[in-house]
Amino acid sequence: MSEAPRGATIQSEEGPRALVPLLARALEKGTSDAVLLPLRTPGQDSYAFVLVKDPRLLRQADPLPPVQTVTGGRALSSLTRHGGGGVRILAVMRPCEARGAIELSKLGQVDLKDVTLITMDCPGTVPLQRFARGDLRPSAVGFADQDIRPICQVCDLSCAAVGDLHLGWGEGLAPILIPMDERGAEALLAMGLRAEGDTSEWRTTVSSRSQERRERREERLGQLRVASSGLDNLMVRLDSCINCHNCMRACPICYCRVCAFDIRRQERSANEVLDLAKARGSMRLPMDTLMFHLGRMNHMSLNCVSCGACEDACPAGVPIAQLFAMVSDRTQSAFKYRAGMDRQQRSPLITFLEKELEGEDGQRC
Amino acid sequence: MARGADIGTEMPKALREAVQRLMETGGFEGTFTLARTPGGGVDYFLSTKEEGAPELLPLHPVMPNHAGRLLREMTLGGAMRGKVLVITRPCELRGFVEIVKRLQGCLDNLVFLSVVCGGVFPLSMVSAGWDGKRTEEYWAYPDGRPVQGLRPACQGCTEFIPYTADLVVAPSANGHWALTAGSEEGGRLIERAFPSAPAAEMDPKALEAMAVARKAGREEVLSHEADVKGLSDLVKVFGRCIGCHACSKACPICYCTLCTFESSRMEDRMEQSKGQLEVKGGIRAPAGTVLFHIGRMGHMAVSCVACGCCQDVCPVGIPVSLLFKKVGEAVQARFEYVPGRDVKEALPINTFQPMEFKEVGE
Amino acid sequence: MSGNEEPRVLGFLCNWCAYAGADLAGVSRLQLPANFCVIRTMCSARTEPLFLFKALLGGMDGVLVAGCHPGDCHYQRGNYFTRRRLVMVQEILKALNMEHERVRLHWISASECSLYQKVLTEFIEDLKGMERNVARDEVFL
Ligand code: SF4
Ligand code: SF4
Ligand code: SF4
Ligand code: SF4
Ligand code: SF4
Ligand code: SF4
Ligand code: FES
Repeated sequence: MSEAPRGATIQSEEGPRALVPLLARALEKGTSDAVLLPLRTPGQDSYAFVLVKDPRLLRQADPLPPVQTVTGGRALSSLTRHGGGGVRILAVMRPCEARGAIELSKLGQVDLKDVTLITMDCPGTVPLQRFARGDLRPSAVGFADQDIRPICQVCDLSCAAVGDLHLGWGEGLAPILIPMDERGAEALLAMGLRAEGDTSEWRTTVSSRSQERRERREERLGQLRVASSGLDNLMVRLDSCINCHNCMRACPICYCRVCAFDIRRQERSANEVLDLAKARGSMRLPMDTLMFHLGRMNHMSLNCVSCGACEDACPAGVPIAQLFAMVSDRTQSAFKYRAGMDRQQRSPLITFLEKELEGEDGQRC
Repeated sequence: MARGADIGTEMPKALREAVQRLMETGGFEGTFTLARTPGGGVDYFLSTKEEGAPELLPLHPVMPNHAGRLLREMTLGGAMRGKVLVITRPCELRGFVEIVKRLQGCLDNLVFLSVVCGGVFPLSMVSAGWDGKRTEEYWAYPDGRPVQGLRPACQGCTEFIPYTADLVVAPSANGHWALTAGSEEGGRLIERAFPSAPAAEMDPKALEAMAVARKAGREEVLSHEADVKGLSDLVKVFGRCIGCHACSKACPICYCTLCTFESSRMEDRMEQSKGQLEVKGGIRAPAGTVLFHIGRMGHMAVSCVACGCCQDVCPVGIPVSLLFKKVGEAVQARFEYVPGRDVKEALPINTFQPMEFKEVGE
Repeated sequence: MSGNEEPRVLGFLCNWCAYAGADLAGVSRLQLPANFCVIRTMCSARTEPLFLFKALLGGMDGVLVAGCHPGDCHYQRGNYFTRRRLVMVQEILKALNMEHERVRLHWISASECSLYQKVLTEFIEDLKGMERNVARDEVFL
């Protein structure tokens, strides 16, 4: 970056919760119509995204809950899929969720026209199922926590400032709000703050955090790649999969109303299954589990943001987000693409160059 | 009915051997049963030959998928050509019968072997690894003592005797197990497979002991979170719902390729959301959580077989199957209907009596 | 209901009978409650349970379904099915301890304009005795 961004330091011990009164101020000022952010649910046992207009509801708000339930991208898509209707929204979410929203906007399923994305440095989340069972239910997660999801442990974009406005924070780092563009600057102004502070401390912290995660990502996903290379080993990784397709439904990127693989399952006749079983001696049911996962990788690994929603939602304990991360790191780097990082860059499969993807010997790929 | 055959005391080995004999003598083209997956888990298989077949684990106490759902997917387009032995639990069979009534499956050529059911363990146990000893302890259930760790749906299941199976594995006297016939076909199969085995019958005392335990279990499981007192409780229970719809996809009764609640007519339009936002000051996104669950009850509660599969797959541990059981039982009782009891019995909402119920809700 | 707030009621009226009855009530200048919204259906059987749930969760205080008398349905049997469905809806609501009193089914023919007036007025009176539907203010639906 040629010119280092400046930011507004917030005098607060509260980390991301320091955002809440600022959001209330922006709402009262009337420059935004509503805020989208996680609220504690009425049972006090989880969090859900709520589009808030009445600032009193913000009392239940937690901008950075310890667990990810529905991803922010899906929440935003449910609201704006058919157009944002001119409602000016401040949408507060983690970097991977915001990247999901950005990918969905490229697919025409999120309307960002009147949305100001506010992202935050993210320490990760604890596994949803452990949180739901109650055996791991912290009220917040910090940057040193070891209990975070495996996918978070290897997230090198946990502090990616993809929002219009980004909150830097952490141990020994006072919260600092940094506008990344014009829209972010306006939001900051509406909160009654000015971007006058120096951000170098935040930048140093982020780069060392990211470096550490990047190394771990390469190491762990490398190990997984070895452990699941070849069809047999991949089958073992997917062995407990019951082919329920819940990973697909929890994924913010899987963009189809009726998934291609939900239709396929019903195309096999009884006799076809019987013939296949006879040819092979036996047939596991439901069939096409591998086909589903490979096909899904084909459809969306270029847009996978490694948010882990799939793994959180898997009832069978398949490390599905890690498998997708392993694949999508490859597919995305082949196209010099990193999902959700650049709003201007088109999704790789809907664009091409006349001469590209050639190896040194002129061979494709 | 034809006589039943004594298959001994050693479960599950005795059951495996009985299935083996049936396969050898029954003229089946294949067997639909739980079996060991390559990675050591358990799932359903359609197995046709002995050599190369996975280790068959008939009626292993888990339900990775609802067999009725799998059979539906297979027979949606028409009957199975050759005779297949299908080994499932009572609620799976009942679920399949319900879907056959909806013309989405076909019973032809399927011969059912079921069991006086002791229940199954949660799905999560499969991925957590299996302790072999657990299986042996499990098969002691006919003494009516509760098996620790069963799914709540099973703890409270009072429909543990299959209605329409051709063959039923049942507790017999003195700790023995019997393979009994539920149909003439079943009787013939037993004659052929066990020409010289001693005769044995279901033991009414064991059934009674189980029924007593299950009634108490039912009271217990329905008394906690599933005991909702109106909308505010519903909002609490479903507050943690992530809207993944895994519950409806796992359900043997939910029969739609495109669920109403995933169709475009259920998607929110900002024009309408705006009004709600004004009135309430806030709206959940995605909205419609409670509507999905109540709406789903409206679609399938008449046929809910309380199989527990919905709850097994719920990533956030919502007692979905208990809620559906509670509602399902109430609706079914009103119509004196037992889902899956008889394939010829009409679905309560597809039939009527001219002289029944008056105006509603006065 | 608290204060002088009026309950809000939605009606699904069959085109061939209750809707015509409502029309006649209007033409005959019978006194009718104002805050009653009507959706005309071609048969009471068009009212699927989902409509009722959606209305209740949308905050309506009452939902009335009205169709032809048993035996008089223009599609022969539609209203018998409606009756069963309404019984089912009631059972679902009861099992969840939700207010099943908010849903009603009545038979009203095209000529029964005073019955229509009576049904509607009584329903609204009864609803006045209940609390306002909490769904109207619930954020977490
Ligand atoms: S595949 Fe998994 S990790 Fe990737 S975007 Fe979808 S839910 Fe997130
Ligand atoms: S797997 Fe493919 S077809 Fe299915 S929802 Fe995802 S993108 Fe669509
Ligand atoms: S990976 Fe998990 S969520 Fe996905 S289909 Fe398999 S069992 Fe279901
Ligand atoms: S609702 Fe749940 S318990 Fe009932 S049949 Fe469906 S999956 Fe089984
Ligand atoms: S909830 Fe209703 S529409 Fe959806 S799959 Fe089930 S029966 Fe079909
Ligand atoms: S499976 Fe659980 S979280 Fe998913 S929709 Fe059903 S109740 Fe909600
Ligand atoms: S036409 Fe009036 S109820 Fe069917």
